[in-house]
Amino acid sequence: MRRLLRLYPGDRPLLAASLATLAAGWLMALAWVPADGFQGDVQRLMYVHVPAAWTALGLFTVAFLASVRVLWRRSLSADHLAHAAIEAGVLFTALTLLLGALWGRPVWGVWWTWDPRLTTTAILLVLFLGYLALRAVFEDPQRRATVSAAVAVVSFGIVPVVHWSVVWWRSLHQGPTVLRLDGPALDGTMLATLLVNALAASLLAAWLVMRRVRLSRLEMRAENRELRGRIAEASPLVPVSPRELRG
Amino acid sequence: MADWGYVIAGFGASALAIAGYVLRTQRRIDRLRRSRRPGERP
Repeated sequence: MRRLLRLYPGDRPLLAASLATLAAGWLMALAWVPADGFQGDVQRLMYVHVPAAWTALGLFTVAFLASVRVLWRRSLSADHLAHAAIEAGVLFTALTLLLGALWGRPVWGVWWTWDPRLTTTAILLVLFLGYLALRAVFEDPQRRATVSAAVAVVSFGIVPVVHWSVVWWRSLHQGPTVLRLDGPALDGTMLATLLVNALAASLLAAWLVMRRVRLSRLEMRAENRELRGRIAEASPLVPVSPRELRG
Repeated sequence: MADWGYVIAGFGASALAIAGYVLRTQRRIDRLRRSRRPGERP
């Protein structure tokens, strides 16, 4: 636990806010909000499932914007942000699918079905897992950033499809309940619980992204250190820059 | 009662997954910080 708390000063307020909001949200979801009239207590999974899905889509949007910046400005900082947002987005997408399966089994009678929303979410997960796998292929940070950004921008095309899938292809998954033109179709206490949990998931995601960006910076410094060592070993008398050695 | 089994599994799995990710990231940060040379900027 002490290791977990060995945080940088800037991280602490965000972590404290996210944990406090998460504790309040989960308490509301498990003990305060009444059970759904049709589905019973299992509907309480909505308070984690829906915020996880919203947060994942938000993270992929952040990654898309950061990746556009990478392609435009060749910014390695934006690459770190895109990588961090996608890693957290993959985690939240996997949780969305897991929680959906746990909710679907008692309500729909199946763990999984090839419903458009489920299928497009699974495609989203596979695309961004591919992004993470691809990053491991490149040694040169600039080339890794450019290729990964291109993949992220193209993969982002699935995000609006996931969002609109329940409108375009009406099937088993329920349609929009909160983000509707005619207002949310949810009871006030349920909506409040959902929004508190959505805020908690967003704050937590922001903290996870900050941590991952910090890790990326440390990884970059370690890579540069290793390169400098290799340059010194290869040619101790001739000054060569890390970029030339990579090239 | 069976409903609560799914609910607890869902909330528990979420907590475990996030805690696991945080610990994995922290371990990697710690390893890289330990490998820093003396005097190098943190």
